[in-house]
Amino acid sequence: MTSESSEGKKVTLKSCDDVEFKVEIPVASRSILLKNMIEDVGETDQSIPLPNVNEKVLKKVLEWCQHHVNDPQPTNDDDDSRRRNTEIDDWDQRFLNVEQDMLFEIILAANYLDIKPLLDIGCKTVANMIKGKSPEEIRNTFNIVNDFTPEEEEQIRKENEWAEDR
Amino acid sequence: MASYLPVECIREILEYLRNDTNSLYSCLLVNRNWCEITIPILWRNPFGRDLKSNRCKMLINTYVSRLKTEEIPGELVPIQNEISTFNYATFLRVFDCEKILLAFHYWAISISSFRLFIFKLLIQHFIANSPKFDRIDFKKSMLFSDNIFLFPGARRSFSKLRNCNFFGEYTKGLIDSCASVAKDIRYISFRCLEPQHPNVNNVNDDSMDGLARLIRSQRQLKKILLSDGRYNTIFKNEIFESLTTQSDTLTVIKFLSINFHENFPLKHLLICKNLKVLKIVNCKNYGNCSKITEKLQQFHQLKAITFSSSRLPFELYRKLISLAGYSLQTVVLMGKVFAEIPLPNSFANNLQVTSNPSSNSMLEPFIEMCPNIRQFLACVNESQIVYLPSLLRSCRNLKRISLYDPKYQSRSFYSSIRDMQTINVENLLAEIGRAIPPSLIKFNINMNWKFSVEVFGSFLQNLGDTSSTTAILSKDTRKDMRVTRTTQLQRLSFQFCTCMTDEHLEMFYMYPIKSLSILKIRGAEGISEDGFRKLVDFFGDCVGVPQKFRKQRNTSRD
Repeated sequence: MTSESSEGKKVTLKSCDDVEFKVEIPVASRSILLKNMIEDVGETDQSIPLPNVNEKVLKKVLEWCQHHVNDPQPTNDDDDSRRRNTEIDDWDQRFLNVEQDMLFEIILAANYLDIKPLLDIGCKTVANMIKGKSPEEIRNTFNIVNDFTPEEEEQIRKENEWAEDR
Repeated sequence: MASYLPVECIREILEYLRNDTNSLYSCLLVNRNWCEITIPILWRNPFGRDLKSNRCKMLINTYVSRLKTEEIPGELVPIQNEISTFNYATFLRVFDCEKILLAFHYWAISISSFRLFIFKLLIQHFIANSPKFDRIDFKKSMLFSDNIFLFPGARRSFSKLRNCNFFGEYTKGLIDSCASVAKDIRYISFRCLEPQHPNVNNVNDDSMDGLARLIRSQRQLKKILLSDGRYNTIFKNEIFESLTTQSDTLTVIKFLSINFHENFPLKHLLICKNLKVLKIVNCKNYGNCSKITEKLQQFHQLKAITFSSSRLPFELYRKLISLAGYSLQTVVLMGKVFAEIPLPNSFANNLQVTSNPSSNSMLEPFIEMCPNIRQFLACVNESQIVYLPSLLRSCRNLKRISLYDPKYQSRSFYSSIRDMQTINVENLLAEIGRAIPPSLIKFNINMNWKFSVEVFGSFLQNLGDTSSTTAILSKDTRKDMRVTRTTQLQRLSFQFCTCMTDEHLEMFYMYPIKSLSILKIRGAEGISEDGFRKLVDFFGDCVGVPQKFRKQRNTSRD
């Protein structure tokens, strides 16, 4: 289904907490998962359940899809050339200026809904939060428990010593 | 986050840090899960991480700890550490011979014998353990002469090579063996050996046959670079023939420092129907292409050409541009684009040469045949500037134009401006402003143009008023095109124009360009501090500081 023919037509998405969103098809089609579903099912009055995304996150993700509705579809570039671009534009930066929990929820939703450009900027944002931090600082930032034994940690440290900036 | 985000998301995040060795080092010590995700990224190409000598030693030590103890000579057993947690060679994806050799040399300083033996063991270890290499970069020599494509495991580990760079062959038959192992290469670069190499003649000749076979055996070759370090190798016709076997997939061809020996492969290139980028750099002896009289098919996809110090005969230059025609979007012309031809015999005693007179028509073929150019970067001389308005009128979707003086040096403003001749554009600049299409975003003049205040004012005025041009162009559909299109110019550079004065700057206030975000007037000599301050007040940070104030600032700081 092309975006031209689908303009004005809507599809209903249902979050895991049972909230329905009526969305124009080109907006929903920023998600490859939804695009494929809509193409497979055709026009339907039934809502599409999204068991992994709650109302708050879905609303946010749809806001991104609406803003980027006219962006060209991502090309099939290999991962390397995609990741070469580390810029995040101003609107996206403001969009992702949210609580950490929400940022992770957006990444999870972008991954589940297969929205590569949103996943990319989410991952870039988290990567920027990691840059220059020590292991302990990373653990504190993301609330991660260190499950290495002291011996394991020492051994890994020794084998990778060449990568340590001293 | 570890329990929060799935492994594939953490991996995706850490991929953005793949070149940040220090951050990856921190990540691998976060916890077990992060360690397992980070290790394959960190160890994908450790030799490419610009390590200092002591770190190279540590790196090789970790690899050596995995060599089988029974293979290590008794004398060397003490150098072994305990076996490493991971078999790190399994993560290696880039086989860069030069960097591996360098790292090994640092490590081997501490051992007195068996260097060659250990090096070979190490290379065998990499090949036997890495399930797939993505890239291989050869050096002209190795510590051994064995063909690594014949090592155990090579057929598997090199079968998925995507990127293959040969610098001659360190051993006979290397490229041929590569051809039988790797058939999905996307990029091949081949550089001939230099003349001082002892085996240069035999090796290069065999290499040519191997290279032709390697190209022919590929299923999806996209890019190729052929380069000659000594400028005299005869690239066999088989190589150009082999390019045609990749006509469905080949999109980029670059010739660097090649002597074509009167045999430029124009017909072969035309068979490559999906060719998008053609670069010819520092080549010579193309042969007489005017002999080709038959009607040739077009390059339907050729979007970008670079002719840099290409020394092309004008006929071939014109032919290539005409064959690209409508598809051409990016043009780069740098250095001596045309071949120099000797003057008649009567002048020969003075050993003088002259530039091809046709070079004055450098821009003409584009004006006639290439209306879809988006980017145009060229080194031009004074005589070609007269064609600029026509070029600007013919390319209505032009986004960027950058013109360079033949004396321009990218790294030295001083030398550039000292050596550039002053070119009077008094009769042309206003016309250039009128001809600039509304699509243009960058207008960069890296030449010392001279123009009066009035003419500069007319230039800016014409530049800002594009509505008349639009109306002329759209006379058949005037109704649809009535919307006035204002200039989108964001970058304006006259940075080598010494003629700029405060009065010139006044023209910016009289005919302002709203879209402008970068203004370069570095070479302006006639600007006062007050004049510059006023300009900065008007434009803000987008104005580059003229050189004369940079000097003053530096001096006052001293």
